[in-house]
Amino acid sequence: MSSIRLEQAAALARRRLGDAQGRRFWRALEALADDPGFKRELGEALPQFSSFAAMDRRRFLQLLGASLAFGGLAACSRPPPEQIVPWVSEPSGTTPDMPQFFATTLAYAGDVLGVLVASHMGRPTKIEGNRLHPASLGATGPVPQAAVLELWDPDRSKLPLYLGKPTSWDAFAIDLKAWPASFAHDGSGLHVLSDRIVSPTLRAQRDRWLAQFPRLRWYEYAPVAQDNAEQGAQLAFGTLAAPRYHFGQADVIVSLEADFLGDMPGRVAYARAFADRRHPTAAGMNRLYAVEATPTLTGAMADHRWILESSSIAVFAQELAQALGLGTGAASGSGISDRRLQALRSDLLAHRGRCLMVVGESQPPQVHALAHLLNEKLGNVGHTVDYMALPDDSGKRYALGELCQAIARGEVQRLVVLDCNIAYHAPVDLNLPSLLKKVPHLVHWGLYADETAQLAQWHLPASHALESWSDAQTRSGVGSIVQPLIEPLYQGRSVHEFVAMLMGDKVQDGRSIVEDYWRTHDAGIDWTQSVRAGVIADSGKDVATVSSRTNALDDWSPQPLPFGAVELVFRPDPTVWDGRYANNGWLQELSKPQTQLTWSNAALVSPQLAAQYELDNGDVVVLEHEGRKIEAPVWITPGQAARSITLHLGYGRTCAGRVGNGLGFNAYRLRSSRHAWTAPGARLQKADRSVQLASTQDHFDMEGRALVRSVSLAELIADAQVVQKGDETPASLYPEQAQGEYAWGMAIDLNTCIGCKGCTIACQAENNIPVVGADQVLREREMHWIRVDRYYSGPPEHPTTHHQPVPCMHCEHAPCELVCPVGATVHDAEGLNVQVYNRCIGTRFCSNNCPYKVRRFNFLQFADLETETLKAQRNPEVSVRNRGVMEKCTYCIQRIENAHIAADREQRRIQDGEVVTACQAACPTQAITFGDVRDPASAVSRVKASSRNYALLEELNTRPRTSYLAQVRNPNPALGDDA
Amino acid sequence: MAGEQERYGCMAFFETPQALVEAVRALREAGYTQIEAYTPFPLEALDDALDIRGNAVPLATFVGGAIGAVGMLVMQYIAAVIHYPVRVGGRPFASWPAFIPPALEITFLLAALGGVLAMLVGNRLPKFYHPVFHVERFGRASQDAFVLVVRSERVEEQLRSLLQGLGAVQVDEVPA
Amino acid sequence: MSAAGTARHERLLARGHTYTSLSDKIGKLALRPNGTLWFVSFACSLLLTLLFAAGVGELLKKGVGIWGINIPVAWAFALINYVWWIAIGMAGTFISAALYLARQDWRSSLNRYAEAMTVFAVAVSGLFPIFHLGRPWFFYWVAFYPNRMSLWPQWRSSLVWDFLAIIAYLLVSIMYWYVGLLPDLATLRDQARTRGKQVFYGLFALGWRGEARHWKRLESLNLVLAGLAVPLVFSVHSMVALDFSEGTLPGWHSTMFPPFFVAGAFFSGFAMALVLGIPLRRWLGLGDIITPKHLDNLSKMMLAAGLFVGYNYAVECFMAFYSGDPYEMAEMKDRLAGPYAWVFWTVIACNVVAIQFLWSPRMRRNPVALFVISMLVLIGMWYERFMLIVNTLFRTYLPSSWGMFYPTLWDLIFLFGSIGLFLLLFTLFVRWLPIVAMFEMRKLLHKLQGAG
Repeated sequence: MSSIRLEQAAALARRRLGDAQGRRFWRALEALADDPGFKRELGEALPQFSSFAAMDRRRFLQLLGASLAFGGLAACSRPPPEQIVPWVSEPSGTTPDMPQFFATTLAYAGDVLGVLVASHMGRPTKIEGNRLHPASLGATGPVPQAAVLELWDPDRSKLPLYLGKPTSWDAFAIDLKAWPASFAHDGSGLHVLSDRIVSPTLRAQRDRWLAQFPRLRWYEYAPVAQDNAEQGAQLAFGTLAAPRYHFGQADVIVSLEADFLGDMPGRVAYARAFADRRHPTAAGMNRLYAVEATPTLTGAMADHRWILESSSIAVFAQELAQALGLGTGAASGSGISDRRLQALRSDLLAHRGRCLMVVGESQPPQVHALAHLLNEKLGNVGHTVDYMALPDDSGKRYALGELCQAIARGEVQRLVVLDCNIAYHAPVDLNLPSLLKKVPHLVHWGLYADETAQLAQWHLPASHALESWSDAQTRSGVGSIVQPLIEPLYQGRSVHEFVAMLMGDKVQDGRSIVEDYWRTHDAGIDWTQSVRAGVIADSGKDVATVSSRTNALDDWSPQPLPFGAVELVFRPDPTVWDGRYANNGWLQELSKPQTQLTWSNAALVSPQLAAQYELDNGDVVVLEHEGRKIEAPVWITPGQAARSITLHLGYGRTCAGRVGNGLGFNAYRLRSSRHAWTAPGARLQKADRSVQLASTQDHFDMEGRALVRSVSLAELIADAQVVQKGDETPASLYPEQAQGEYAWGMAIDLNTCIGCKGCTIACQAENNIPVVGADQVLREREMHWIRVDRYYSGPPEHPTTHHQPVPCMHCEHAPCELVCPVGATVHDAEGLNVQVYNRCIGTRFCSNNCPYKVRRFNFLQFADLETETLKAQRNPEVSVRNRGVMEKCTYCIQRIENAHIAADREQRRIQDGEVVTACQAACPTQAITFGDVRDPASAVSRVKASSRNYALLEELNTRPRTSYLAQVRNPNPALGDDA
Repeated sequence: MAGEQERYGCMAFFETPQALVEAVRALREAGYTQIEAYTPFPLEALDDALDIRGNAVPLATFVGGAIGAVGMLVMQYIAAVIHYPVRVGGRPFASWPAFIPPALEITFLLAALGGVLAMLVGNRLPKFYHPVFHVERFGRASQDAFVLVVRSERVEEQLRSLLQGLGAVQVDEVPA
Repeated sequence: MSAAGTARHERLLARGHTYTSLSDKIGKLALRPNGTLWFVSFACSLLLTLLFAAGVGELLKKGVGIWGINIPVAWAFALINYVWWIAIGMAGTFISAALYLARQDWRSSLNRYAEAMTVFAVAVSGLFPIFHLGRPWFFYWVAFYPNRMSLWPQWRSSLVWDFLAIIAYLLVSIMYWYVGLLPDLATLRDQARTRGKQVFYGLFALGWRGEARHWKRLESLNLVLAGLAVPLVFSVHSMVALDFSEGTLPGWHSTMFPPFFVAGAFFSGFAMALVLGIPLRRWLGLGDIITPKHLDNLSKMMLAAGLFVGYNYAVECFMAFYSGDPYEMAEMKDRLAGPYAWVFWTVIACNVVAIQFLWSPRMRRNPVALFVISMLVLIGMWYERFMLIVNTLFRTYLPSSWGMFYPTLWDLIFLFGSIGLFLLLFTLFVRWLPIVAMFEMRKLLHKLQGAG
């Protein structure tokens, strides 16, 4: 039976079946099998098919069942029936071919972000930032972009499982009836574990449940949270408070391992605020001091990056406090020279009220407290930092350790785990996997049937954030609603629905639960407006007044890392975070900003340590701490503190899914509760094997070529033309060609680019770029249309890091076009270098001849044409490329065309800023500008007019339309060459 | 000897090329015009003996080449400038220097083709039937024999003897 | 016969040959029953050819990704093999055409198998540009032909030029070869004793009779074709060179590439002519027709070409540094001392050092030594193309996109498979066609005797 015909038949059947899903769907299908009407219709529609129509129901079900199983799924991909509200400024008069935008909220990687989701005829395909949401301001970042792929991930948990066998929610409901018998009427014996709660509604549900069952225990655990920060604030102020930083106000910033551009909550808005102060004017430009053990995005942007083992940073903090006259005991021996310390001191004192101390979660609470005291002493509170009171959860929320004790004491009758993969990521000393086996009744609710689900009797599928109603609150207190873009693809239920079900509530429909919460807790709320705008009006504005306790840090005397000792430093992975995104191909293939590694983590070692142990990239070492051992391949990382080894969490998953299983090594195996972030006194030993790590870049030296141009602020002020010295476009033999109506061009500001690679993923999502897998990356065949190159300058022990996003340059004299024998890559009137996939025969001469190597070739059939859900995920405006075809950045031509259509409809020119490329939209720091370069008033023209503007490899006379703005550093003059 | 049947001519075999050439000369003096000489390799001496003049091959080659050169240049101009102009690498539509190589190659191709065709047509090849093949021994003409055929419908005893006199090792009648 | 006559006689053709003996000797080679030696070589080359076929199957099924190519090294073995083969083809045309124009009698005993070598080498080389495409089934889009979308090739691309060059070269060399074969096919037709062979050769002989006027036209055609073939091969190899030098890459973008490639083509072509000729004369007992004099001449030609190639290496290196262009210099530094430096030094060893032995006449007349040296030259020329292509591509302008190329098993299968295909064609030729131009030999004999 030909598959095409099957498809046609399936289509007919689908129409008959309508929206039936799950069990209803199968019942309806069986009914259909007996329905003579349908068979007649089938016979008429497809005469060649009468045999099929005539066949008996068994065979009918066999054949149609298969092709409908997914088909039914496709059929149900439409907006949910209840009323969801398009985004406020969604263009009027939308037609089916134009995407609709809905505002919602994503809780991701320890942060919360307000986003807009592009929905093509009910299919969420792309995530953009919500510029009305203070945490986004219109930008996103890598991880939120990848949420779409997570939604359509075919490995997501689809059905409830009982002892691993598929079953139904009804069955669970029946099981639920038996629960009360198993624990006392006050709820003792019932324990609930959740991730850190960011949803006010869930918090309220929890409280209601606790009121109902006083002895019920609710635990929260996330391997990457803000525990140290919270304890630090507690220590400094005696109350629970979260700092809110105002980088925009800060002239001098000191970061003690605080990666506020990389992994700190609020990172997107922080990056914008920070970048806004990087514009090189004598007064305006801020100065960043970063003290850290392992390279971070923040460190790469720092004007002074001082490398210190993580354990010694506390000492440095103490030294600084001392220098600034804060009486919190003496300290010495951090390893930072006195010259630097004094220079920093005077810089801070010179900027009282306009400087800022930021501390990273990886530092102990005392350092956080110290920073709070310093900020207070320097008069920064209320200017560059203020505080928000956190809800007091004492007695409501318990720590994971307490759960373990309870289990050990045998008090835990039932444990409900709400999407928290403790069997994988709990501290190793708690020994949870074996403890969980002791729990009589373990119930797991989650997006995937992960490691924890394997140990549970019940696994219940969660609905994805894009499928469910919920809400979320940022660390800075901004609340916003999560609204579904699509009905659950599978049988998932939202956390609210699930908890409501557990509590036996009347109302079990997610939307009502969330709406009720807000209507009751915030009488004045305009629900529709809040949902439409994607943010709850003036939330997160209230400021808590806190006063420090001067004796906070008495009897604290930090010790530096003993000489010769080696420390382990744990960090969340830049892409797969704590492991929850392990099955996300986009994030796996996105090269980690600091290492350019894909598909694996590695033990990052300093060049010095590598020399000492004769290690080469990929050599496997045995790491030992407190008697626990793991094997890990090393990656030599310039700028790594000499004696710290960085291990990224999130790898070594065993039940992540087809994509994420068995990649890298599991760093949690060494991570104990006491040493969650820094583990001094580790031992390493070279094992006699090595593995190949898939890096997207192998050479990090610019070879003296002016690729990334970097000058100091002083130099720039001394001579505004310093960047462009010696630049001149070579003469051309060819006559100018007639120009079209627009001349599209792009400018990328290397001074504000933080190298987060949000652009790369945004492009991947927008342009249906396939994932090729580790082995193909090893063969240097990754497909990203915009990559972020990273170069080092200076000595490898303490290098300066330079990021450079490289999309297609759209050269006016494109070398690629000249050599294509079939004219598959040609120029259009508006200056785009367009690639004609249908015409391309794959000679690859264009790629050879591209000086920027931005062209990507489908060496094999990379695009997945099989998986149904991935088909649904794709952007219908961009064709999917097959094997043997060259592809590359198009400046998001589909967006340009949409703008053309809109403009033509209204008989006007395309306005400046109307066309926003995917990379540009995603960029947290607005480093990318795009527009019409022939219109002198356009944003891009104004940027290109800057004296920092230069063309990459201009001497080749390719006349690129994409140009760069040189990087500017603002080092402290007092330090001179000692940067 | 079947004198009454149709005849193509009279075939004589010689041992050496010199003998053949002399025989040809002698026959022409004797007034025979329709003479064909078959040799196992090209024999320049025969050219003036049979006074064979130039042939059409060089001309045909030239014509073919000319068509290739001009045609190709014209076609490229039409294609790239008039019919379907496309912007490529900022180059002008009429990129004459780039048009020359294709024209050059096609010139070679058509020139050679012209020459070969001229040769085949001029030699009336392929021609799988020819009276001379009737003579058993004619096969040697492609190996080591030097053969002479005098066209004449009738048996001419004097021609026979003349040929034998000229040193023909064997003389055969060639039936039509 | 005069002394002079005898002397030349001995050099170019062993004493005592007559028209009959020549015709019989060479004709027999094609008409006699198969020998075991031939069967062995046939079987081996057939095996390799099947391997090639398997490679093509896999390629069409999966895509060019089965090879080691990547970004930045998007061209590797396929293009290397292509250039290597088409260059090998060159000597054949040169021997038969240029030496013909130069009235070099010694060509007569070589031109037939040399031309065959050309035709087969060009045919094999022509496969690679097709199979290296991402979508080989659309290769004809490079040609100009009326189509529904009224699309044309992009005339400015050297790939179009090269495509036309290959087509022209292949067709012209086939014509040249076949036209030369006509009289010999006729000879075989007349020598054949079995009906089958008579028909077979008879059909291909087109009824050639060897009439004086026919010879006249054939001779002038040969002259004209020779006159065309010589500039043609030069142009073809210039086009091949332009495939690279049209690129903007340091190491490719050089005006000396065309002469450089032409010289290289001569070089490897003569090497292949020797590699094929030496076993032929040994196994088929052609020592009296392909005499030491021929080997001597061929190796002189090879030496001359080799010296020119070596000169090119030197100039390339000099120009890179003289230019002052940092990218050119970086490319050259990598060539001399980079990760692929071993390739460059292999090239020098094979193409520059090894041929120095050819200064000695004794070496030039020692078949074994010649065979070894020629093999080295063939290997060296393959590596030279590796050097030119891979060593240029693997490190270009942006260090961020520097990479390495590592061949896969399929790369090797395509290389050795193509060698198998070439040998298969050649063994078939040796078996079924006269490997020496008989009528040319008779003509030569006549000329020698005439001189005597």
